[in-house]
Amino acid sequence: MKFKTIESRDGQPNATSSRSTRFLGLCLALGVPILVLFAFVFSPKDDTMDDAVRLLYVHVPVAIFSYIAFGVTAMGSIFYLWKQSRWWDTTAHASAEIGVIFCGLTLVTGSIWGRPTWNTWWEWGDVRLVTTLVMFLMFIGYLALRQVPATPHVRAKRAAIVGIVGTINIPIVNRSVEWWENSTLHQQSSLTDGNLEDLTLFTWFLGTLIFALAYVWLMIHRFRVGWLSSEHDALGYGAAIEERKAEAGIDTEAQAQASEDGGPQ
Amino acid sequence: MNEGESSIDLTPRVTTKSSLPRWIPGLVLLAVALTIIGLVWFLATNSQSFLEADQAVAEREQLGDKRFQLLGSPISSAGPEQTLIIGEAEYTFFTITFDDVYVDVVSQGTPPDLFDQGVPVVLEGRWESGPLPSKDYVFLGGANDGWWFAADRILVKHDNDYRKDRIDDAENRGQPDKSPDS
Repeated sequence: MKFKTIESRDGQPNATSSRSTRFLGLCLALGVPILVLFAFVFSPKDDTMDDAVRLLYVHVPVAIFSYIAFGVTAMGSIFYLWKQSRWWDTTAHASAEIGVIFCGLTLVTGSIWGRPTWNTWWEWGDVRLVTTLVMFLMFIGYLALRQVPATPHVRAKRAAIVGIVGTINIPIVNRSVEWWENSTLHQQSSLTDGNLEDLTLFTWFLGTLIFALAYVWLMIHRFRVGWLSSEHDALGYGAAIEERKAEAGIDTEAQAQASEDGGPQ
Repeated sequence: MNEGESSIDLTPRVTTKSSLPRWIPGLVLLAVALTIIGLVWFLATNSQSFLEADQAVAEREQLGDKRFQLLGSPISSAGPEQTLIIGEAEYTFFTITFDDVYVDVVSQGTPPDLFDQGVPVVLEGRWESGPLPSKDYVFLGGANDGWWFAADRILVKHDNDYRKDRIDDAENRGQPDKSPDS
């Protein structure tokens, strides 16, 4: 696979950006201040929650995109096990890293929300909070497993299994507020119940759009870093073999000719 | 084997040993499996469960002095006349309701900022009977049946409604405006 990236004189890419990612990055750079403006200036305070309601514009989008990111990891993992394709493994890995960041942000912003709203930073018995923490830890485990030395295929296969298993928790986290209504302080979905309106709804939508752009932008860059890294690894193996043969003084072309002539392998 | 290959040094090279032992992947997989088991166990047995006020009243005898979490909506906001300093401790007196069943509450400390009429709360504490910390106190519109809930923690279970008209809507439906069963 070849990317349209910035290339140095030796023909090797020295950045992961391309025209499309730079455009995406520009949209993001322009979108974030607009979101901040809507979140802090144009959108109204809530009658009971006051300014704490503004956390909606970050907390809900990052939660949604952590589900999506881990869902993409599961999809990449399934396709890797099926097709054994490095592309899918790199996709799963990249998405898991971004998902962990988004899920971490979900936990932090949720905790900041909880103090003024619920009167507590954290509740260990709360179903929504604990299942979200478990989801976060599962994908930390996924990333840790990828750091364990192994051949690329073994590493990808192990990670794919954990990636698929970890995703089982996503519907539990998402539906926990409905399934265990009396076991969580967390509210049910405002959006599906039609309980957001006017500028609050618009700003929430803008926030979701901005975090969607952020996810896509990060995903493309992280995928490219992962792909180039695996290319480098593959290049490293090839180079090592060639180096070893060179040390032994083997003429690879002559050897290839010999094998074609039916000589000993 | 040709001449070229016979000259290859087949002695394994000394490689830098990985700092991570080989059993690490097994350990990670075990941790994942234990996490799943722990999650199922937590969801099945150990997660908190709020008792709604009507349920808590019905099960009062069985609950005895067991500590539990009580869910209901205050029938009024906490005014200054409801907060009393007795000895060195500050107590707040209020009543919550769920499905038209009322429970009188005596809570230690000041209620949280979002404590308000109709906003569902989760109280941690236990049933008490007999005289209140302030013996002559009467709960306005409360149960006043000799039983009260001694709470030492108030959590607010905020609803998911952020519409401007929600308070008017709730008032039109009749108070308490945002009871958990509405």
